[in-house]
Amino acid sequence: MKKNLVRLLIFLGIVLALDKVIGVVCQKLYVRSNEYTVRKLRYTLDSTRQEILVLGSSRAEHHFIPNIISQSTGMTTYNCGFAGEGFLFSLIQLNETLKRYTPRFVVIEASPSTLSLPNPEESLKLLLPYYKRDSLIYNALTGNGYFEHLKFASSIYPYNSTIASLISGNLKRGSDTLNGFKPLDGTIDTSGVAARMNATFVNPYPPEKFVTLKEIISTCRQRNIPVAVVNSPVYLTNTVHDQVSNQIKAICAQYPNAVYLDYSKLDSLYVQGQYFKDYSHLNSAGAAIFTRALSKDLAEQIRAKTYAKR
Amino acid sequence: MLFNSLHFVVFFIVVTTLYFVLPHRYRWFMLLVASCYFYMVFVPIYILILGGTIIVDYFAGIWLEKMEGKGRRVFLIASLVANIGVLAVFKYYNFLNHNLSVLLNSFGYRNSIPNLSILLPIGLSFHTFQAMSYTIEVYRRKQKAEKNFGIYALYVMFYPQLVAGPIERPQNMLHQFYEKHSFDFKRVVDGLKLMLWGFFIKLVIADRLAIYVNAVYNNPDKHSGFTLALATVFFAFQIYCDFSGYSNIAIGAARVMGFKLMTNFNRPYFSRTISEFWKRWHISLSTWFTDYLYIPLGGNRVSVPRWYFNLFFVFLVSGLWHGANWTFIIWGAINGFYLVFALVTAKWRNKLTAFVGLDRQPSLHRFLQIFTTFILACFAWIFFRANSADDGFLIVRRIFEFQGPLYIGDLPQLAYCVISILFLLLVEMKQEYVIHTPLPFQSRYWLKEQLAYVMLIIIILLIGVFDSSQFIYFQF
Repeated sequence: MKKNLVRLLIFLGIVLALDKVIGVVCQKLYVRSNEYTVRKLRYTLDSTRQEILVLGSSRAEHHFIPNIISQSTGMTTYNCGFAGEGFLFSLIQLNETLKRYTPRFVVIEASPSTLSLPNPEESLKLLLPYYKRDSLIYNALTGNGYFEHLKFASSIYPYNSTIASLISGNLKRGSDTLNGFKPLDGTIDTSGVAARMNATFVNPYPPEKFVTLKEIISTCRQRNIPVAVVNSPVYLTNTVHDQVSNQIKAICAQYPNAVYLDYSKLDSLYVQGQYFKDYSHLNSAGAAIFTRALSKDLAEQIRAKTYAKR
Repeated sequence: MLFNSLHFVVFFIVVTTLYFVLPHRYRWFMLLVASCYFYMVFVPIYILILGGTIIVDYFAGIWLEKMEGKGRRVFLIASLVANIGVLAVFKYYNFLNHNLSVLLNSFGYRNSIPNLSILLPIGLSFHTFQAMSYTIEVYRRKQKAEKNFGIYALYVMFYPQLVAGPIERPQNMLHQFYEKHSFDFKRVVDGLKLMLWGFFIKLVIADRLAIYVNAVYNNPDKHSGFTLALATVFFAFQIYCDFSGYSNIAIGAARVMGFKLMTNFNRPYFSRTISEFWKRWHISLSTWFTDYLYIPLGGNRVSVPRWYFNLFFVFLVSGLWHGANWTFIIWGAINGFYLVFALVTAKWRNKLTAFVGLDRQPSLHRFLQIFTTFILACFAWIFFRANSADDGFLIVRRIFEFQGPLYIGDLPQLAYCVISILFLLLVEMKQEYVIHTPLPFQSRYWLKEQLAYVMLIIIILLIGVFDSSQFIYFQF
């Protein structure tokens, strides 16, 4: 029995030691990684200093070109959008930013398409390496169950599924000349788009869907940051899509620091297949047209100091 | 409760500890309560359905034992109808109703019978078949009726195999609940190792492959033939690792407590024929159909055409058992066709083997047989995985076009998939040809063997998929 106990302890000792060592190695690899997503996340959570921040999902990441916005507004701009991420992720990014400085303006992409993301809470895995940093992050990561906390007993777990990209990210160099914007190439295959639209937007959303969006706007309000809630272009809309857009518009109307800007049916892009990668994502040409239209309106808003006066 | 959740890990530690701490006479009761809890984590109310069928089968067993004459058959049929009735309502009603609507529509009529909007109780087909095997065995007088209601309920509900098998027989299980299992360190460690291997192939291989397979199979019209072929091969390994991973965890969890469940998988992709494949794949179901359907139909002790019909029919039913969808029926039919075709062409194939000289190259012959069997199994899996029969036919058509670019998606993700399949094949080759044990690693050096298991844990933490995705067979 004593021999078995010793063997058990040796086994557990090796597991714990290896877990710790590999966890530390992963952490070192993570902070030095030049892999696009890791580098961008690190930057948005730790280093942004820009005056305008763009928050949101892939529709933010692929639609808003910071360099065009900067030219029109005269303000430095960074696109913090991340594919597959919902409002909770944006709120976390905003909270981390506010610990460092107060941006002069926040743009958040909030559209029916963003709200239709399947399980955005599950895609928060990107934040695993930051689980210790903030209770909001920790609660978001452990919110799925009573026993989720146990996973963090492992030092490796925060780097789960990233080892290959961490290694490759340490072997390459990278620079972000596009300030967080990620262009898409290609054009939409329009067959079946209307059917998919109708399958995605069946009913207006319940109020719970908008809670985090409201929290983002009210967090900005507490720091006197004007917010532009932007419904960026989609290839096609339907009645329910428009109803959800109106729900978002109604929410914005509740906050003096928020303005709702709807480009979902921007004339120059609506049902123009050559400017879309798929039904909810613009390609780079489409993004340029959209951002130019948006920048003009943003510059006007900023010049008029609409929000500051409120 | 999902095996691949931390909830289960905590549950397993608590139940196993209680099992060894409690006096023998209370253990069955504790296991029954634990199994009820395990089941109720899914949809609590469905315990009533399970309880209802347990009560019916318990009394049916007692009466079947006591009675003589024709009345016994009536009780058996009543018990089987009760079990199959539940299965029919929950699993097949909407399927039958939908097909009735399609049929009536084609004649210009409208079906006004509404569909049921109910969830399928998890693992319904598994525990129903296990319960049916009890009443049939009692009817055949090969098993005495269980007098202790709690023990009988535990036979149906024993948590390791409650929701996805192995589908046990009363002769193997019932007596084990009366045996006193003491704490045996080696047995406990062996059980834990088997569980660890099960977790590894589920979390690292099956769930990783699922990401690629789902991306492709959920949009088959958007992918090329090469991509669909690769996704099909990936699915073959996904479903194997998913289901055999579950079985390993179930068998290992039971073994830790001293229970011996039947082997459910025996490296099926090393089979040389489809017939052998079905002796190595989901063994508990294959033997169930052999014992309770194929042999009662006459098996092979009938005329040749009838024999072929029996084989084909059993596989058709097996397909339907898996799910109320034409995809599963087609999958069953393909497998039935393979077996009949193999029998019809056996002599001709032997002659061809001799003619090309393969009989003088046993290694090459074996490799070609294994490869061919794998390809045939993959072809059938297309329909098993496809979201609809139309999708299945589209995928087959695309694959045979042999063109188009290969969808890579996320390169590291694809690399994980390929490496993990190669690793699995290496381990299984060693099991198949060298060590002949269900455990993946064996060495005369203690430390070397343990390090292999340590690495499994580390790899699970590094690249395992921790999204608690369901086991594929739970839906059946």
